[in-house]
Amino acid sequence: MTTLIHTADWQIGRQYGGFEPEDAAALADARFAAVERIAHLAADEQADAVLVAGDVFDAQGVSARTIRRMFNAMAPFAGPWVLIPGNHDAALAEGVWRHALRMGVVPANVKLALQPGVVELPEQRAAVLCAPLTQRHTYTDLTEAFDGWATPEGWLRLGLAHGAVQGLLAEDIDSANPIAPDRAERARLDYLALGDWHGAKRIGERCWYAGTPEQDRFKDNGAGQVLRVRLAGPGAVPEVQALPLGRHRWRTLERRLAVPSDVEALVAELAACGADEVLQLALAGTLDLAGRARLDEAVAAAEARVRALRCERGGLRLAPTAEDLAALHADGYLGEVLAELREADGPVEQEALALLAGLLAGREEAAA
Amino acid sequence: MKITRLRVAELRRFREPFEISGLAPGLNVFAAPNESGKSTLVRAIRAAFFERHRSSGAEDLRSWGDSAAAPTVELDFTLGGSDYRLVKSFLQKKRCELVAGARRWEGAEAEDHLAELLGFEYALKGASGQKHWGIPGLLWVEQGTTQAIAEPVEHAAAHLQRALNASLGEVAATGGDEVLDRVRLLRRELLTATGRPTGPLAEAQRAAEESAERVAEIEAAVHGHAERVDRLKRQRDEHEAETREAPWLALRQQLAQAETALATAEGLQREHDAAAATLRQADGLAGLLRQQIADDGKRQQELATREATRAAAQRRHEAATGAEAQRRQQLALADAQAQQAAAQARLEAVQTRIAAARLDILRQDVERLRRSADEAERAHRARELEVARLTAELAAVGAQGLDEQLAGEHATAEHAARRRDELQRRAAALDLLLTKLEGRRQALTRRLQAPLQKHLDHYASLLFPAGRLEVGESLRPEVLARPGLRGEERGAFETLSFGAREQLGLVCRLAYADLLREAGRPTLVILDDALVHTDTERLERMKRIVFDAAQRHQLLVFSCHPAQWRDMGVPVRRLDTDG
Repeated sequence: MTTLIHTADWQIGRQYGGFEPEDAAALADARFAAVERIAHLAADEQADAVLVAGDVFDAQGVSARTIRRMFNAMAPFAGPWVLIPGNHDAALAEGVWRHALRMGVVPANVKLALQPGVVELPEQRAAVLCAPLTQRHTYTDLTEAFDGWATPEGWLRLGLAHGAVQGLLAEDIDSANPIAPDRAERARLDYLALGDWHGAKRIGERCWYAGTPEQDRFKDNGAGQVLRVRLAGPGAVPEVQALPLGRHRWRTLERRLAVPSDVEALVAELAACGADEVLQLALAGTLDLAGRARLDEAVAAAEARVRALRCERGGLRLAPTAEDLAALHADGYLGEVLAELREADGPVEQEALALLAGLLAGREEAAA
Repeated sequence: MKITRLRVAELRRFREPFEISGLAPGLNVFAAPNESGKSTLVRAIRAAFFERHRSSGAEDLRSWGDSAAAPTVELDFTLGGSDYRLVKSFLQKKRCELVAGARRWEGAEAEDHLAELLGFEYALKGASGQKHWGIPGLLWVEQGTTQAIAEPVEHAAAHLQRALNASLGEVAATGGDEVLDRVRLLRRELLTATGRPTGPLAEAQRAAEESAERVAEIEAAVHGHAERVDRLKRQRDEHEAETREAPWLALRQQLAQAETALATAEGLQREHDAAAATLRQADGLAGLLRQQIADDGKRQQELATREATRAAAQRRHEAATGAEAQRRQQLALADAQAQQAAAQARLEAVQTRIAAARLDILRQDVERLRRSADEAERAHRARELEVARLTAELAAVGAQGLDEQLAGEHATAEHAARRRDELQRRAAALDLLLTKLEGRRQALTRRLQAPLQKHLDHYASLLFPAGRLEVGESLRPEVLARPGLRGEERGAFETLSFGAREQLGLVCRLAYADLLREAGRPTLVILDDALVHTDTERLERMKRIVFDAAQRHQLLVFSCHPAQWRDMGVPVRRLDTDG
């Protein structure tokens, strides 16, 4: 029985805009931590090898420190790792891989397949057919060569590639770096380990996308896992198990608020969010002053608790009720302006309304 | 409020009681020359109301040289449908009594009641001053002060505002001005008075701009880097292909061939030289032979001449040997000439071949191929250097982690842009809020002031046809607008002539009186030589205004120019003869 850990799309060095700098730094750090957990998992599972199907680095120009940290994170697993470049870290004439090699930080147990070819693992009696990207985009199926490559008799025949399986992922129609959906069969592979798609996905009984081990976008497609692949021997159908690995859970809460109970439901949802969540709130609808205060409070509380929170209130309208206005004791021209702003819809008017309501509420509080 | 009777005693020049009764509810004109007690009466009325009976501020009322005097003022008036009698004595006999039918107030209580009724205050200490006088301070005009309206309005402002609000039946906005001030303050944090960004907003805009510039810079560097990576790839591929193909080797081979061809051609030159030498030899030989033949011929001739007489045998023998030699010589010459022709032909053949070989072009071939081969090798070495240089350069740039920097700067730029947008929206919102609040407030103020404006327009148009006096928020007259040669002319009140200010000052006071009357406040108007700087024409207009006002208010007009007031439809009372 051979046990492999299949992973991909580590995207080391990725930076996160749209968050507070502090949160962004923590999210960038989490990617190194994920690699470290993969190494520990491989050691714990006594894996025979770890296959990394491309996009190890998020970009060519990552700092030397980032490169070192990544290889350091791999240290807990001393067995063989086979890495191929993907589109983000293609093996160009000069780039991250050459940089790493020049720095001399690539350990002996980490095999970099920077050229198409077979990486042999004699101890494991396995041959890994590698289709690295040597440019960011190709329009030919680099795995086609697998069909003709010979491997030692009686060894496992494994494929490692990065790209889009044609015709299966709707949004990848006509995409670059195509891969034939029946490559595993055509090339007589025992297992084809793929990268590029960020969620774990079964393509066939011998072909899977591992997905990124640490979620990095607001898309719930099974990211944050690695695959444990067990093979009884050449020709046997692999037994594939997705294992949770990611730390952060990225979620979008898209809510339309109309009545007070909508706000209460959202507040309860926010209250239930844990420390490792990365939240995106996309809010629409209308809020009265009380609802807005409740929401502001709940968002502030959640912001302090979760890893990161992004709140889009573009579709949210502040609509103070008659009681709200009465409670502000805005008479005379203050009342007139308040009423006028209440009728208006623009973002500036909305902001002005919130400001005025805030000033008036503050005045009420000071008087109380 | 209407005064019906006034009596003074022991008061300045009025040692004996002096009484004016039967005052009309409208206009009353009192004329008196200077020093006849006109101002004393005015002072008496003011003191009756403004000075506490216990006040030391009444010292000036004392009859001249009478230390025992108890200056006394007695006033009958109607107010709010009731008849009042006020009796007030100062100094030696401090007393105050107010009676209205069955009701009666005494001392300070009486005074407080009066102040409440008329809308003024008392000085806490000493003589009463302008700031205490409230409504009467506005409507009772002291000699020559008609134009100085700002302060009286300020001191009566609360009453006027109340009258305006009461007449409109609504309030401006509770604490509206505090909110407005707060908005102004918040706006000032982000925008200058002219609406330019300042403070955190300017800072955020600068930060966003700088960050965007840095992004562009790093992007350009990343782009340049990618291009150089592509170039490196091309150069490396070409270098490898060149190393494999070694094009300079083929060139060197061609060069060798060209050199051989050149050497061969240069061999022709040597042949040419040899042929030329041979020809020269043949030419020499033939020449020599021809010379010998010619020399021999000449010697034979001389011999024949000199020795004609010698023996014939001798001659024959000699002739026979001479002919033999001659024949041999002719043969040798023919041989030499044949050699000469052959040499000539050979030389010409070589010359033809040399011309065909194009030695100059062959030399160029050699040069060209040598240079090409050298160049190919040089280019190869240069490319090798370029590959090494690019590799080193890219490695150095790669170590900077440009993409990571770019992604980081992108994040920073995004953050900065978001903050800028937030602040811009906040500034726009504050601006909008301020505009709206100020606009509404202004509109409201105008609406609130409309009743006052109505009364002002009523009088101002009598003074300046089509003129309009505008009051500011403080209810003071601010601008006189009237038609001019080039459209409307607007003059600030302070910039008008003394006379115009005096006239408009009175107009305002009468308009305030109308406003107060509508609000149910007492409105007695006292004018003590109120129009001293007014010319005759304007005075005529002002008299119409005064007469009109007297239809609604009691007016007590004191003047030292009786003749001016004879056309007011009322008797001009002379104080010196009256009572």
